[in-house]
Amino acid sequence: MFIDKNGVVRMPKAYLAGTEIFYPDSKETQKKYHALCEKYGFIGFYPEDEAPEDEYAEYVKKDDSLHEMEMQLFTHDLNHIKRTDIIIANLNDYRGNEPDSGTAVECGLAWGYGHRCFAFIDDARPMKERFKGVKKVREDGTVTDKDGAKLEDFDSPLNLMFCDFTIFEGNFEDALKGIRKIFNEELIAAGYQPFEVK
Amino acid sequence: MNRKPVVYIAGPECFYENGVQLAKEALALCEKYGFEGISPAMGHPLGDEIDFSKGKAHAARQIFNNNIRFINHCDLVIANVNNFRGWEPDGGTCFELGYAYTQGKKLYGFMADTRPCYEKYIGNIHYDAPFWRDDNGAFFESGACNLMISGPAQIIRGTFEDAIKKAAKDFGLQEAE
Repeated sequence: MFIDKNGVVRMPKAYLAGTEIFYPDSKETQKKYHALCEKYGFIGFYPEDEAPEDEYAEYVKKDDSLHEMEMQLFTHDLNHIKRTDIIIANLNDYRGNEPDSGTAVECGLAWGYGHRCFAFIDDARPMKERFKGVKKVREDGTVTDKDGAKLEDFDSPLNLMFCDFTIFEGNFEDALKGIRKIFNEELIAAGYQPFEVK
Repeated sequence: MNRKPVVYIAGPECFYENGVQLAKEALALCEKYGFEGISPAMGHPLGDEIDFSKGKAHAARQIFNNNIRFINHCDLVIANVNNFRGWEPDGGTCFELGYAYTQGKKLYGFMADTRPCYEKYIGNIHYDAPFWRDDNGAFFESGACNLMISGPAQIIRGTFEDAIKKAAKDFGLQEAE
């Protein structure tokens, strides 16, 4: 349960964005994440979940070209974002020192549709501290990566474009716990019963 | 509408020591091809002056708000989606592409190498039909970048100038003498 933008108390629909879909155990993760969502009072939408019957139409491919396939998958994920209330993004470094770009695009989509935005990351220390690559220092003291690109210094683990995200240190379940706590506090403050985690 | 189409210039250039110089060059190219450019690396009348005296979080929020305002004002985004610090483009740039999409902006991404991700990757790859996977088991998408970018954005091989040339063509603009 949560209080939605219109003040209605209902189950929050959450889009589960991340790199989990790229791994061979994605199907197991999908099941595990759904079970965790149920436990903490969310309706989860994993990218690979089938589209439910609603107003968001799936993309119809014109041909079998790569771009048409990409548009079909993009629209599928986009629709999941449109039909949800919040995003929970895995913004861990992926193949280097940046989050997965697809997940990052989805964060921008969700923010643009006015969703409440949450993320989880293994190490939530500021970027300058958590950065795993080789660091260099400019004459003026600015800390950069080995190529001379400045490591942002805003006390955030991520690029400042994610400043509207509430970031939880830990895994997906840690994020669900943290969001549940926030939603329950909002419910109690408005005089409603909190959701009881079994 | 009598104004020139406005380009939001997205990318990690601002992190480099010559970031302002790179922004000026991109702005000049916008002008050359008939656009007005906005670079988040440069001051702009639509943006607030960043006040660093109120703490880092406040400054980050101000920069974020400015960038959102710039994107709202633009007609198209031209984004540098080259790999940054590894095998993914800059996360902030990707966020901006996603947001710009929700506002109905036209999206362009440029990259020096548009071969499929698995061909560009330097590291072990394994074929597991129909995908190539890295040593951690993560598969590579078939395109030049993640499909959440190459779906909604036109991917141009080359530089900012190559992308803006294509955009000028799409917008029916003439190159200035």
